[in-house]
Amino acid sequence: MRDIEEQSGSSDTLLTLVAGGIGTDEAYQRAGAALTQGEGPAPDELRDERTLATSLTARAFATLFVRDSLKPALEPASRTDTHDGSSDEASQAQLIVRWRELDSVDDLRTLVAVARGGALVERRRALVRLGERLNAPKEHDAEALRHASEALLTIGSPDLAYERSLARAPLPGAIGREVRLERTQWLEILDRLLPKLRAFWEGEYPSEPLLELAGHERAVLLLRSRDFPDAVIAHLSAVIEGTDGVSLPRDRISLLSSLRYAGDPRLVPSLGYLLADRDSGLVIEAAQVLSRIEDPRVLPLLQGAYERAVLPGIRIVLAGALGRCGDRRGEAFLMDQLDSKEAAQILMPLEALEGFDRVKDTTKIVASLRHQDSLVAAAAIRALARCGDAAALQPLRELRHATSIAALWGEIEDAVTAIRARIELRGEDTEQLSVSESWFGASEHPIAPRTPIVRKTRAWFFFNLGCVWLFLGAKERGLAAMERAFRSRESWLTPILSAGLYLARAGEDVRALVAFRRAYQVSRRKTEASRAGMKAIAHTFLRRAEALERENRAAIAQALLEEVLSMDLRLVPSALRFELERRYSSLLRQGELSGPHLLPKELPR
Amino acid sequence: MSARHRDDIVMLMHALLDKADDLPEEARIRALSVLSEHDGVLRSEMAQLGDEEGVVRLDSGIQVAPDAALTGVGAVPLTQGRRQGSASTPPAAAPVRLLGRERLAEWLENLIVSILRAGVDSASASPTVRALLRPDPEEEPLPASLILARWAGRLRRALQAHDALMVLLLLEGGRLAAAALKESETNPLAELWLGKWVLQGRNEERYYGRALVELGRERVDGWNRGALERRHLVDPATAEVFCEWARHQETGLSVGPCPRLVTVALASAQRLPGPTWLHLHQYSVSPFIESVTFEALAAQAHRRVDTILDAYFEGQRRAPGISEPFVVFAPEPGSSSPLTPVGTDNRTLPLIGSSALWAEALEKLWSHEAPRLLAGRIVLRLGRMYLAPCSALFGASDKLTFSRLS
Repeated sequence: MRDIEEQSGSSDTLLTLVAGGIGTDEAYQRAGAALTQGEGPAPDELRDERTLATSLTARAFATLFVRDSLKPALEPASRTDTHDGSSDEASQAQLIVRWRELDSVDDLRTLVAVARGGALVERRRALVRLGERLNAPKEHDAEALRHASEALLTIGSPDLAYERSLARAPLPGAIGREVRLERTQWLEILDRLLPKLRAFWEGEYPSEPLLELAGHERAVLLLRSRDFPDAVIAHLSAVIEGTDGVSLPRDRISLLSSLRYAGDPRLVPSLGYLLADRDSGLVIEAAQVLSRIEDPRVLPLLQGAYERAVLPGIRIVLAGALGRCGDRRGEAFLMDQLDSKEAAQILMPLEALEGFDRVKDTTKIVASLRHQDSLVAAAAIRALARCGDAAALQPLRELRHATSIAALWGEIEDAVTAIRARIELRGEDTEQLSVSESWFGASEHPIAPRTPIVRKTRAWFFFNLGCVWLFLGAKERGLAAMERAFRSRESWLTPILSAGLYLARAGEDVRALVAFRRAYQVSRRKTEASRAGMKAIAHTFLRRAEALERENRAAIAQALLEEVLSMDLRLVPSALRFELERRYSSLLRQGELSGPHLLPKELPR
Repeated sequence: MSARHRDDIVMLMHALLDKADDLPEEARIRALSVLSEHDGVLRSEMAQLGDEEGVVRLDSGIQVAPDAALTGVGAVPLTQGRRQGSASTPPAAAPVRLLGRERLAEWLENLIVSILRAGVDSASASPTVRALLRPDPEEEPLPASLILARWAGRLRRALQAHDALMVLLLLEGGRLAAAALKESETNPLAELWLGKWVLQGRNEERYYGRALVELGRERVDGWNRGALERRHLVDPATAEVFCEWARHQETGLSVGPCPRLVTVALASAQRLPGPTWLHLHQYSVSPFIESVTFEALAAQAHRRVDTILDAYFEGQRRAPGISEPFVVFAPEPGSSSPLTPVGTDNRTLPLIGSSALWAEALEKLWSHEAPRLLAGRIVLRLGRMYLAPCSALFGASDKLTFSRLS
C-alpha cells in the first residue's frame, strides 16, 4: 500500500512537473528531487538542464504510461473546438426546425410557398413533400392541385432539379412522361458508361470516360449522381482528387463544375480533401458543390476552410457556401465587396449572396440592379429573390419596365414570385402590397394584320405539304414548302419553327440556327412560349458552340452562348440551362475573352 | 488485351523460365516483366511463377509511355498512374533535405528542454517552442524524414490541446531518437528519423500477387497542417495492415480512389515501428469491390476492445511517438449509440473526430443504422483511448455499403 501511495504521489508529482514546467527554481529543484529517488542519474548530473529534461521525460513516461492507466473513454470526445458559432448554430437550428416541420405539412399552398421562398434545404424537402401530396389528389381541391402542378412546372432552379424530377415522375400525362423519359435516358447513359469505367481501371481505356461525354449528356448524368452505384462515386472521387492518373487540373475543375448540383453526400470526403488544395480553382468549385450537399459534415469543413482562407476570391465563395448552409459569418465581408463599381469585382459577391436566405440590409444589392452589366443585374435579382425582402419589389418593378432584356424579365418574375412566397410564409398579406400583376400584360408586338382567307388557306396547304415531304425524307422539298408557307402568311411562326426543329433533329445545326433566329424575329414571345422550340434552340446553340470551340473559334462560341442566354430559358430543362451557363463561364475563365459581359440592349421586335 | 496477345506472352515467358532452370536456388527467378506493344499501345506485363512449378500467371499491368525504360524486375520505373509525363505530374512539393544526425539530435533535445521548461500547459505559446516546431520553408528546406514531420505535427497538436500524456509519449520518442542519433548513424532508429530507412530501402520485403483493400485515406499534420497523405490498405486474407504515405501532392503515391481493390503485381514493404510502409511498384486498381471481399475483412476484424488496447500499448512501448496503429473493428450489434461501439468483451471504444460539430454530424449520419465495421486509427486523447474512424461498412451480406467518412 505504501509503495502504491509512493508511486501515486510520484506520478502526481511528475505529471504536475510535466504540465506546469520546470522553468522556475522551485520546480527545477522538485524535478531533481523526484529524479534522484530510486534509480536515476546522480544529483551532479542533474545540474545540466538538458540531462534533467531528458531524464524527467524517461522517468515520467515509464511511470505514467502504464497499461492500466490507459482506458477507453466512456463517452465520445467532447467539444474541443474554440470557434464561437453560437449565432450561426442558432440560425442553422432554425433551419432544421423548419425543415423537420415540413414532413407533417399537408397544405399544398404552404408547400408551394416554401418551395418558392424557402432556404435550399427547405425548398428541396417541400418539393418532395409536394410530390407525395399530389399522389393523393382526392384530398385536395382542384384549385390547389392546379396551383401545385403549375408550381412544379415553373420552378426551374438547377438546385432543385433532382427533387423536382422525383416529385414529377409519378404525375400523369406529359409531365410524368417527360420525367420518366429523362430517367430512361439517364439509365442508358449510365449503362454505356459502366463498362468504360471498368475498362479504364483495367488499363483498357485510354482516357477518362466521363470527360469524353458530350456536355449535355454529362449534365443529365451528374444531376442524378445520388442514384449512382458506389463504385461510380468512387471513380468520381478519384478524378476530382486527381488520383486517377490522367486528369489535368483543368479537367478536374470542369468535372467539379458539372457536379455543382449533384448533392451527393458520398462526395463529401473528396470535396473536403480539395478545400485544402493549392489550386484556388479546385477550392472554389469544391466549395460550390459542398454547399449544396445536405450532410452534417459539410458545415464544419466549410467553416474551417473559411477561417483559413486568405485570398479574397476564395473567401467570397466560401462565405456564400456558408450562407447556403445557414452560417452568416461572411455576410458583412460580402457586403463590403459590393462597394466597388466594377462588374468583375461585384459579380462574385452577388453570386455568393444568392446562398443567403436573408441579409440584414439589401440596399447595396438593390443598387446593383441598375448596373450596366446585365450579368450583374441578373445576379442581384437572384440574390434579392433568395433574401425575400419585400422592399425589393418596387425596385424590381422599376427594372422590369426599364429593361428590354428577356432573360432579366424571367429572372424578375421568378424573384417576385419567390419574395411573395416568403411574405406569405411570414403571414403577411400580399394583396396589400402596391404591386400590379399586370406587368407582363403589355403587348410587346404589334398585332399582325389579318390575312385574307385565301392566303391563310394557301399557307396551310404549303405547311401540310412540307410536313408530308419531310416525313417522306425529301428534305429540301419539304423545307422549300415550309418557306412558301411562311411567306404566304406574315407573322406565322409554325412553319419556320417546324423547319428549325426538323433541321435540329437532323443535326444540321447551322441551318437550324438560321431558322430559329428567324422564328425569334417573327415572334419572340411565341417562340419563348414553345417548350419544344426552346429546348431545341438551347440544344442547337450548345452543340454549335461546342463545335466552334473544337475549331478554336471561342469568340464566336461565346457570342452564341451570350445570345441564347439572353433568351427566356425557363422552359428549357435545368440540365441544359446549367450546361449553357457552365460552358459560358468556362470560356470566360479561359481568359480568351475578357471585360464586362455585354448583352444586346435591344432585342428584335 | 486479346487472348492471342496474352497467349503469345505466356509462351515467351515459359520459354524464358525454362532457360532459367539452370540458375542456382539462391538466384531463382520469381517473376519477369515484359514491355509489349499491341495495336500501337505499349503495355507492361508482370508474369510470375504460380504455386505449381512452371505455371505462369499473367497480371495485367499499366499502360506506359513510349519512352519508359525497364530498370529491373517489374520496374517500369515507379510509374505514377497510367501515363508518364506532364499529364499526371502534381505540383512541386517543398524542397527537402537530409538532416545531419548531430544536428537532429541537438534539435530534438532542445525541443524537449524548451517544452519541459515552459510546461505542457504553456508550451504552445512559447516563442522558442513555436520557432522550433515550425521551420520556415522559405528560408530553409524542410527535413526529408516523414517520421520527423509527422512527429512534429502530432506534437504541435498535443501542445495546443494541453494533452500532457500525449506530449510525454512524443517527447519520449524524441528522447530515444536523440540517443540513437548520438550513438551511431547506422543505428536503425537513427536512420529512421533521418529519413534514410525509407530512402535506402532498409528491411525491404517484396510482395507479389496479393490483393489489398484500401479502407482509409487521410491527410494528417506534418510540418504544416494536412501536409502528409496516408492510405491504409488491409489484406482481407491475413488482416495485415499496410500504409502508403507521402507529402501531399508529391509523387510516390499510387492511383485510385478510396475504397479500391489493389491487386499487387510487385510491391515492397518496410517493417517500421507502426504500420508496415508500403510502396506499390506494379499493380492494378479497381473501385469495383465485391461483397465477398468486405465479408472477408469483417471476418478478420478485431472484436475485442482489450486486444486493440493491448496492441496499442505494446506499439507505443516499442516505438513511442511513432506508432499510430490502424485497426478494423467489428462492434457488437445493438450498441447503445453509434458513437460508442462495444466489443465482445463489453468494453466501448468511442469515436473521435476533428471538430466540435463532428460527433453531432456522425450521429445524424448513422441515426438509422449502426455500422457493421469500422476502420480507423487508435488515438490517445487526454489519457483516454478513442477510435478515429476513416470509413465504415453497413448492411448485410447481400447489400454491403462502404462509407468513407473523411
